[in-house]
Amino acid sequence: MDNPDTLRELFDDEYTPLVRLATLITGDVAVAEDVVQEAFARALARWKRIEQYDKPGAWVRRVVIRLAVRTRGKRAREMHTPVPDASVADPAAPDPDLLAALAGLPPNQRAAVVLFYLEGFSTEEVAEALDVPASTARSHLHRARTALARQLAIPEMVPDGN
Amino acid sequence: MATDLDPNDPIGQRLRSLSEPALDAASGDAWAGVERHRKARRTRHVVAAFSTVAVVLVVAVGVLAVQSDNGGSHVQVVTPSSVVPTTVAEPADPPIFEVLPVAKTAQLTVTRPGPIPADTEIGVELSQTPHKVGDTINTQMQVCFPWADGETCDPSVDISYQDHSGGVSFYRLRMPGWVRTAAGMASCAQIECRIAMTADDGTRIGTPRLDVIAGVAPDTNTELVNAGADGVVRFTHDGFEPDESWTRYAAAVDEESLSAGYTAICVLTHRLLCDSIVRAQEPTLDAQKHTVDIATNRLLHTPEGWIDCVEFTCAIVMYRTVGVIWNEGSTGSGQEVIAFVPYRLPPTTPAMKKPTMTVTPTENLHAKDVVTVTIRDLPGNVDPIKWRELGGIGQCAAEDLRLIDDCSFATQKTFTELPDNGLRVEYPVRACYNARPCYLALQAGRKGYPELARTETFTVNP
Repeated sequence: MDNPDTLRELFDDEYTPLVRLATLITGDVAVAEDVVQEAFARALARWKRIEQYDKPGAWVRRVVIRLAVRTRGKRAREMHTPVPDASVADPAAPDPDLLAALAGLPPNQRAAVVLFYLEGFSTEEVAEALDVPASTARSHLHRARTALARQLAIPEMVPDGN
Repeated sequence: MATDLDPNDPIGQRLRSLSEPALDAASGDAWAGVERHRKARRTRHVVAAFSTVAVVLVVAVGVLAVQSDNGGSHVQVVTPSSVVPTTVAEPADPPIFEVLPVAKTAQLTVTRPGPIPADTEIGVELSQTPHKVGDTINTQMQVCFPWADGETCDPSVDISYQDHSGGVSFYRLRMPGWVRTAAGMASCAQIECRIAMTADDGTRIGTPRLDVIAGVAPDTNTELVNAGADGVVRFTHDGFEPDESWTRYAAAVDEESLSAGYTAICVLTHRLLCDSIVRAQEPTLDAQKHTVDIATNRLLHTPEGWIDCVEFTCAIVMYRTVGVIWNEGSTGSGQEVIAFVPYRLPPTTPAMKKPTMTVTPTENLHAKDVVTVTIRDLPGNVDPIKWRELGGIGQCAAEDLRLIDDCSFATQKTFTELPDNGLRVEYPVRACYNARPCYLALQAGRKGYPELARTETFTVNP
């Protein structure tokens, strides 16, 4: 949605995909919901200004990413779905092997993979989002790809000698 | 083997083919969550620990205009890339003035079992043994956390006394998930916050470490841009608005007679020790982003004397006027802290001399004799003529003017500016109180502060 009439319309359209994105980054559904709700609360406070932008949804998305990256690795201690054990795949989840493999990554690598592959970030943009040097961001991506390739049995993506 | 990063490699394709996973939370419940977050943001008002929302008489606040290079603050539209980041406390603890000893776990208990979600109102009970706390209303109870080899506390969190019964005193607070530290905002889930206070015998007592669900880091809406060796501190603030009670007052009565807020320069420790000398410009509370330059002094004159902002962490503190009530003839209001911007001046900041004060003659003085007072090395950023308005020169005898202010003031002639930037004035002395030796002091004009400078003591015969 490019020009929602109200913030609520934007919320109804974007909430679920944003929670999915934040879940992939943070590894925790309830933390992801908290992040997305916080992002919309901030949008609500500034809506008069944000609704003038060409793509208000993009503003909310960037805030979600920024907050999710900041909270990656931190786990809420209420009744939340825990980060799934990498050794156990939930057969009911879509592509459970992929989700389990993602969940097994360290938080920075997981965030880097999600931003690069799903959000289309360049390695420089990944570095900026994670607040790390570009070389570190590339290293996160390489290691994450290698780990995922091994877990998902994609031999052509495993570096020689590994 | 694919070594180059290709977003369309097999992993990328597989990631993008993920369909929406089933989520437990319904959208209706989720919007309620947004409303909850918004309410928490609006009511995340932090009240200075030492200021209650009591009725006080309003006095005109004289402020010094500090002009920034561009002639004033400018408005900047907030774009997505300029969302102000929240700084998380770094592992190294910047030095603060007065690190407290670690409180022993005793006498304080939190009534709500953990884990405690951020912004939840909780109760704290204080028992009187083994360490007595006589003044349960005014003795400060605070949210504290480890710092360096001891502890410190967030001076902006208000814990209010409620009642007492059966030897137990009751307090309430809205437990923060994040606290303000000299290194920025820090999560109570990470740094182990607790409630603590000092008993009458000096023993620090407190609760055990609290299990806090900190939640998302709050947006401080401020950012330090630079603290230069010239003492100029530049920072940005965004989104602050006046309190509704002030807005109603300004519309109904007189916008100019009561400021919507003010800015102080303080030493940041478990309490705010604010400078008596530099009065920074009022913050512009129009919900827009502003860049502000404040010309500070290296040494701040505080209730604990002169403190160095190269050696210790200082902070720009923004206050907002709240709880404005008025009727014919009088207006009352309180203040709340709305922003902290910690800073330290760089080691290259030139050393600053403390002001000195001399008097001649000091022998054979009689009441109504006129002595010559010379003041040197006055701090910068203050109009010398304003010294008289700040507090003036008094004749005093008490050893510590913070405890007993026994100064009397004579009518002074105009200060004369000296070639070395000093000031000179003729001062008529009177008999010293109780025939004790007395001295002349340059006062800060604020209660609870020591003098800025004092002369040697002398005696005055009747």
